[in-house]
Amino acid sequence: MENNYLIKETKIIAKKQETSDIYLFTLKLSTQGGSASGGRDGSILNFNPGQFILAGIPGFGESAFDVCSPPTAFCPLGQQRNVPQGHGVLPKATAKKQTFQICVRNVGVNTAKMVALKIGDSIFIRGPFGNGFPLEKFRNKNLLMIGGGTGIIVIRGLLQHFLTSPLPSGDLPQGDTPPLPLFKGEGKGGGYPRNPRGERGEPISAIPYPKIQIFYGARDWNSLLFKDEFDSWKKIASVHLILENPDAKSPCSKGLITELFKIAPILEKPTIIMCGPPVMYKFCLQKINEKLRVPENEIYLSLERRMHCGIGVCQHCAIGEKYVCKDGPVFTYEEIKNIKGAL
Amino acid sequence: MKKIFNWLKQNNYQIWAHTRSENDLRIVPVDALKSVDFSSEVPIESWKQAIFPSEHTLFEFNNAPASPSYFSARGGSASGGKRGLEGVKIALFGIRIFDLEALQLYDTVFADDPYYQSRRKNILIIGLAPLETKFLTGFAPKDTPTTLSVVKGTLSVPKEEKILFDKTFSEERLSHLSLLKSDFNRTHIFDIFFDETSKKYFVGSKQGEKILNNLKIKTSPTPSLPLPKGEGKGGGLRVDPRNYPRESASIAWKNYLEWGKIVENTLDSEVWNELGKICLACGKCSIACPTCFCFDITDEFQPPHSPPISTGAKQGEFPPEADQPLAEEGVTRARCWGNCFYQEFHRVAQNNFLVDNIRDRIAFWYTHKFVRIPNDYKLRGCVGCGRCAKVCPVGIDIKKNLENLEKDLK
Repeated sequence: MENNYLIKETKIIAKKQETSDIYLFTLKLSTQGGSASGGRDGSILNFNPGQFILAGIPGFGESAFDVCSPPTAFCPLGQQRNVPQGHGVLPKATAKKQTFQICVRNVGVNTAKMVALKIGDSIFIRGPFGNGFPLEKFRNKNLLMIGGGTGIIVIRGLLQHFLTSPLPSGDLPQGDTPPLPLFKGEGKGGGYPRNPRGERGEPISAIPYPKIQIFYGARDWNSLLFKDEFDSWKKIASVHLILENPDAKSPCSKGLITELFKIAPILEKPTIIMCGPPVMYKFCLQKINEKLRVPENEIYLSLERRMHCGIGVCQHCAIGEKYVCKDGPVFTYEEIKNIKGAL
Repeated sequence: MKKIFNWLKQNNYQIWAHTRSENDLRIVPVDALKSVDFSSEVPIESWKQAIFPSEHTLFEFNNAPASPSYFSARGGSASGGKRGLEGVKIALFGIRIFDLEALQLYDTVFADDPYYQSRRKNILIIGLAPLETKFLTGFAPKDTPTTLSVVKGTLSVPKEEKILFDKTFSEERLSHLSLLKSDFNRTHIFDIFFDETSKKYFVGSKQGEKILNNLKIKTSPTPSLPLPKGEGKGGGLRVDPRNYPRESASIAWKNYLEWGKIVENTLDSEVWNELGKICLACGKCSIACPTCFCFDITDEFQPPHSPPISTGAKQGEFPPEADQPLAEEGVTRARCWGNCFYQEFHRVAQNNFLVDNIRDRIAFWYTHKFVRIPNDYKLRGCVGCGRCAKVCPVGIDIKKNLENLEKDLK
């Protein structure tokens, strides 16, 4: 019987300040010392993009964080690995990367304590929980990823997956292939074999890669996350930034994120992946409905709630008949459109 | 039952039973058979406090970095709790059929929960169908079973059989308490069940059988549902009980799903607005409810030693603060009963509350009972005991509410 409530110790390997109150932590499961569930085995977190962990410091509770780094396991593009909820420890031998990242925003008791930690300090986690993105459904699709504010953290996790995953051989997408990317060492995740057959250095042609377009809206230049990664994102995606209050130097448009639907040429028949505040969902869904007519089951939204158990029992994250933890956090619009209070 | 009670006492069981305390019927540990209430009255408390304490420790955490292990109790004290009942043998004596159905939900929800299971294995369950068949509850004006009349186009069951708040015993009802996975030691969630009317003793486990044999009490064959395919006594595959519609055959179950549809389709109803106006959000209904299992996970610092009790304060004054701030040494992470009527239950980051009014919180509670639980576990989330109506300070009656919602849907 697996005990889902026991926590594993991670050490902070790196800490990077992204904005005035948001920090990017690189964590590694501790191989010795404290872990109530035996962190000595394997010790590598196995997860899918879009899954989340519960993390915190004992005494101050736990908060939910999307894991926003590339997957730690070798994962061919478009193939969903089966990561059982709450049981995501990977045998060391099969892991490609030992660390993972979360973004912590100082908004409460636990997160205030977390952002004050230094490299070498411990954060305790459980998970991963939730289902993550249905990657197999993104194969050969044009993807429009919309991130508002901190919602970009979830989008970044998915992007990192595309940036670092080896590409399977497969059908060509409709239309042109996107900008060619991806040999070893490129992109932020770095260090993965990047060709279809796992042999390094082999040139890639005919990539069944989705075309990716990113809409990223934020308050101002200082509240933009991952600024130094935009160049690497551009290797696989067209990136559109918009700020509510840009200053003179900001190389981007002014306005709300919905403005981008007017000014950016949008990919044909896109599948939509959205994460942001509820008000953003409301207005973006309006625009999508007006301009793009994307089927409701091809609009994916990642929701955020406070969770206590992570496994669909405690009821804190219940919306209608669903649970954000167990059934989400990624939902299609079709699944939740009729649930009062979901968005 | 007397013999069983004495046997339990001789064997050092802590015996929980219905007992009258002043004007209220309660469920607490008892010492003597004479304090056990055998009537049909439904107590204000439920049995969940015996099987799922209002607070229990998940693990303790020692914050001192020098310590060889952060965890003083590696793996957590799985059945610990403030009541200190770890290892104590507990008997639930005289649990009625509808409360057993609530217990069945707990057994299913926490099937994979090591804390629950380690406590549950020390619990012996003696069910009882008392002689009086008229159950007294808080339902007003008089306690007749609610019947579901007509829901457009969905009825296949005769009107008079669409019952939700039926609390009477039947052997068919008992059969739904059979386990759907192989277990050498038990076939039902209870150990012994006694029907006072037919004077029949039913056995649901090896241990129950042993006790009755010991006391030379004759047993009757216990009704049970057929095991799912691939399951056999003491062998075969383990089937997840959640995947098996346990009650699917029964009229009560079909009826229940109808109520679920009514709740789901009336979330915009004026009925909720009215409830929102009178409900105090005191949460008593949720505390009294035998199926409410929501919980919070909370951390608590344990000071290394208690603060010195100040003797310097004069009467009517606050004692002066201790000179030294308390060192924070250990942390206890505990699981406590949650209550979805409280605003705090719905708190998210930055002090926002997603279900931010009482109206919606009541609807949240009903949605859990009538939509999520049957969806998740194929069991009823309301066993119709009427405790919520009985304890409500402003007289909110679940039965009336459902009837009003049903009217509203038409």
